[in-house]
Amino acid sequence: MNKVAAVSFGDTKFSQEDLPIEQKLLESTKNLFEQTPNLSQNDIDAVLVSTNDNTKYLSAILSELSGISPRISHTIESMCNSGTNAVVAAMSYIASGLADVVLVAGGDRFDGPGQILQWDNSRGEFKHPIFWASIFTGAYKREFNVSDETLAYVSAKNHRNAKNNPNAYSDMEPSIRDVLNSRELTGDLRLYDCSRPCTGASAILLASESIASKFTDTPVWILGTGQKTTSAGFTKNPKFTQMESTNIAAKDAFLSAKKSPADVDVIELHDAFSICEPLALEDLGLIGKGKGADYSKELFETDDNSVNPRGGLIGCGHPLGATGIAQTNEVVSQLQGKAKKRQIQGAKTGLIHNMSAAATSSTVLVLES
Amino acid sequence: MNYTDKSNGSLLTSMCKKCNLAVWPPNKICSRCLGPTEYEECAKDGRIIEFSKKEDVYFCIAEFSQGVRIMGRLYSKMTPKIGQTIQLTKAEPYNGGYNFEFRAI
Repeated sequence: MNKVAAVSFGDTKFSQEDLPIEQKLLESTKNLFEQTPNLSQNDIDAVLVSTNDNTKYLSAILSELSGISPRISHTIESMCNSGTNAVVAAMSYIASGLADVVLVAGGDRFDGPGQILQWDNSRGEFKHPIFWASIFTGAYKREFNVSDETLAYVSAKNHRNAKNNPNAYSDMEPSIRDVLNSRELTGDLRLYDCSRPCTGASAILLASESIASKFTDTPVWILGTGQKTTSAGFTKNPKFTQMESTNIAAKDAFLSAKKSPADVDVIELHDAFSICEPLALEDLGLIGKGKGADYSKELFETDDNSVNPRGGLIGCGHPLGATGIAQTNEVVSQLQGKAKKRQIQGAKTGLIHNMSAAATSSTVLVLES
Repeated sequence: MNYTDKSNGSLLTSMCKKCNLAVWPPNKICSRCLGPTEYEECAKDGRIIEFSKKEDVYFCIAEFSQGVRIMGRLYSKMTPKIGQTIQLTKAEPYNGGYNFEFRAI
């Protein structure tokens, strides 16, 4: 397999703007070109678009709008982890030798159709994601005797981290009390526990080892990947106090990267809701079962931003098709030493965790500078 | 695909006799052996696996004897208990899908 590097990226501000999806994708691509020396349209072998939008043929549309005539061009959809699925697909094209340079752009609109999995009738009338999040939260609080207050630190921390990210949707910095007093959506979930659907796009450029140095002096290597889909339906989860797909994907990612959780300096994980952060920390193998919420609290109290430095989904907003790419871009920028106010000093190894539909599918990537 | 028996409104599941597996949502093809299934009524008695609450209504995941798991509403003055037995009292078309109602027994 050829080695694959992330060489540059382009992000956009996540917002509630009412823009055509192709315009937002083009904006992220334009930003990527502006930040990539020596890149011309002719260098790009493949254009992959990650989205849940119903617009057809978006990769060809984005290619035309940005003056690229790629050999390979198509859309990738997997609900909330579309973005990292597209990154892994791009990596596969390069690793196999079918392409040397791949542009991946992902995005969705604030009113995109990817938030509700209509097919999953096992959820009855409770198809909105707040209901699976409530079930996970209730189950976790009962099993590990965790309070609402401890879980509130996840939201407070990720909002705080987002304050240093000019592309984040959120510009507020709620206290623990503010999180607990935010509007009650269910008995186990409050408004500030939730990431918000947004309009946004992110783009990343991957390249083979043979050409990466043309575009950057600081390539970030994709060392390992792990992916697992356990089902489509939420109620098929074997337990509601863990993310089984994440657990399996993480083990594969660390194995293929020849790394262990102790090696990781920076993490972007999929905090679609507060409960997701402790569950992910635990199933990624970073902390023992039932200890994740206390760990997030400790990170908040010690001003440590190594978990979700860009603000996570709660702080940044969640344009589904963009999220996995924006997460990857944050880790790439940290490992390139370009994360400005958010920079974690000396970060060398990073991890991305992106999941879909109540943790029925997960992707984990391990990157190194 | 209908999830309920038109004659009496009962919830249906699909059973693969070869695998002794209930396939739900019901489907005429078994997800394990990809052979044919047969429709049958879903057991009405189940138990609560997990629950939470919205306003004064509990929403629960219940598991029925064939291993079918669905989410439905439970009207109860008492906080449900994990493992508590319930009965499926309603399965109705709703918003392109179905809604389900349970009763504590």
